[in-house]
Amino acid sequence: MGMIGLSIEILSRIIIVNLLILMCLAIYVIILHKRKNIQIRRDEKYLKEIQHGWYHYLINKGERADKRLVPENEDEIRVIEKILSSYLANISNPDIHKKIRSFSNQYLSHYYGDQLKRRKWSARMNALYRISDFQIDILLDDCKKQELKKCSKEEWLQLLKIYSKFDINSCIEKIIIEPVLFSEHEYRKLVLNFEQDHLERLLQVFDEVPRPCQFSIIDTLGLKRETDYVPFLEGLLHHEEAEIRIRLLKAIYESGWIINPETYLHFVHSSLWEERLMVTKLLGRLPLDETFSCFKILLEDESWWVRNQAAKTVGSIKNGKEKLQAFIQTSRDKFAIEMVNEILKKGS
Amino acid sequence: MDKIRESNQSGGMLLDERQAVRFFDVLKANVERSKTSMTAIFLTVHSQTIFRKEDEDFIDQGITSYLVSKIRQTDVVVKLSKPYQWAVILSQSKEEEAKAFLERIFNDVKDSDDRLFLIYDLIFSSGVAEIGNGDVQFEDLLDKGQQALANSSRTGDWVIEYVIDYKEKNMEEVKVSIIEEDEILTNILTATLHNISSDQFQLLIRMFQEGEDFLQSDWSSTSHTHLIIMNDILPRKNGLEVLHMIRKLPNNKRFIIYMMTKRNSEEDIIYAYESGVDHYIIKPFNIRLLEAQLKRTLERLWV
Repeated sequence: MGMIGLSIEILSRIIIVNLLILMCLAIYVIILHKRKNIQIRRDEKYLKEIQHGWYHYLINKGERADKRLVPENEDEIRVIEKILSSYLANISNPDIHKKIRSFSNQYLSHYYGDQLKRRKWSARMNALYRISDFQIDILLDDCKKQELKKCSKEEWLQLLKIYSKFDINSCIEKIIIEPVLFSEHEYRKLVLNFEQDHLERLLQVFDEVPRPCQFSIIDTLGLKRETDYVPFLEGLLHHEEAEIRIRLLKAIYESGWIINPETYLHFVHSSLWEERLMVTKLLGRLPLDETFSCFKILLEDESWWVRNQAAKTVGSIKNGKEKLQAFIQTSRDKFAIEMVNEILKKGS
Repeated sequence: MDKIRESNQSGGMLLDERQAVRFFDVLKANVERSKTSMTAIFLTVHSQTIFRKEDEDFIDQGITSYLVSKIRQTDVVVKLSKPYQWAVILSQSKEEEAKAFLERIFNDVKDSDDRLFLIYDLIFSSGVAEIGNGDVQFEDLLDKGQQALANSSRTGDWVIEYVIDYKEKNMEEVKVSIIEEDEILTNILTATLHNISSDQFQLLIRMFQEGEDFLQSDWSSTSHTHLIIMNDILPRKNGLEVLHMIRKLPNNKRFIIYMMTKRNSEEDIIYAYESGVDHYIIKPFNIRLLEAQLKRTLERLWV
């Protein structure tokens, strides 16, 4: 009986202690929540107060930044980051970008310079992002000092982005030296933001950059859809690496420009079905009368993908369906006839 | 005279004053709906020769037939109850077109070898009233038109007198919905829209952060012209879903849709246009160009 009485006493003490801990935790969480809410409300209030001023300065031809726009503490910097990031993501006017650059160099560089020195990785990363986005070129040397420290892969990529804007020579040099192994996706994020003259500099050293970077350059040129880059792409079509050749054909197709068709017609007879597939897509950009002899070969290709693409491409061109009907009458390849019939049926 | 009667058959419509009252209401409603002005021309004739009572019918009928032969099928000649007075209503026309019409008629009459004009040596006086809103009553218009005719006759021969009382268009309310999650961009767009001022329309702007909020609101169910500026990616019903829903509405032609997006692939753009987007804006975009585009879109509604 005594034993049970003792146990109940201990138990109730444990419960009380636990309850107290829980209460303390609850109070702590409530205080945190309240603080967060106060901060959100303060940020919202500040945002409302200065938004119009920023619109006036950036869009309404305000020549000088109003003193009220200059942040006085970290909270205000956080709100300004939000405003400037939104402008940069959504609005492209060059004069707006110039004003953001000038304001950031003058009023935000000191803060981000300090952030770069912090031990906290996320603070350094945030600073690197903002230096790149807001174009704070005054901090270029501080960024270069980062290289000497133990930099993470993400920091390196961000540093290269910064160099690509303010010091293209260093950027290209680093890409060639390859201080860290970047993936193709990472290189693409970098190359996509290159300005035109910087991209042209990169093309000059195409053979020296790592293979994933070469892939990303080719893809980027395709996405740009500019006729100026097509001769460069066509010039590489005899590259020894098959993946490069396939990417080139894809990029030429995506650019929408075909300057010298004869440079890739031989891919109709390639031993790789991927090359034959890409050239089938490309031929669709040319007049059917000039290309139908090639399509006849591709319609009878041994690969299902190539036959399918050839039938689809011809079927989507003006007068293509009539050509496919005529093809069925003359072809002896039953797989080709089957594919063409399938496409014709879908089309109708 | 025979020549005039012959041409009657290929001309526009002829009404008397009583019939014209009802027909005028239809034309007036059309002015309001299509936001396009019409113009009423008042005409009278006089001469150095004194008209006899028996001339009245001959002149009235002759000129009525002549005017009917000169108008388009969309226009109307009204023979007013007072002798020697007519009104010609030119639909979808402004003062300038009415002036050109009258000059053509005046020159034609002056050069004409038709008996009607040769015998009586007729001189025209005229009044022109452009109608840009639906508030005017036919009786009031008639009074003003006849006053203009009196003034015109006093001023001289072949004079055109203008009535400006009904020219002004009613200000139209245009609804604008901005559907965008980013509050800062929403405010930039709102401020930009406030820069577009006009005396022809008033913008009623509302902001939504989610597609569903917009669809659930009764804001989209009225017959106002409705400009929508929305992002393609939105929480709770994205932009393309909102677009599909709008284009299924019976009043969908009232909506002018600008879609903002970060996607710039050929396929995405074509798909958006095929789905019913009117303007596809790739982010980041030039805000001044967008402002000019929006302004042009709105102005075109009142050409």
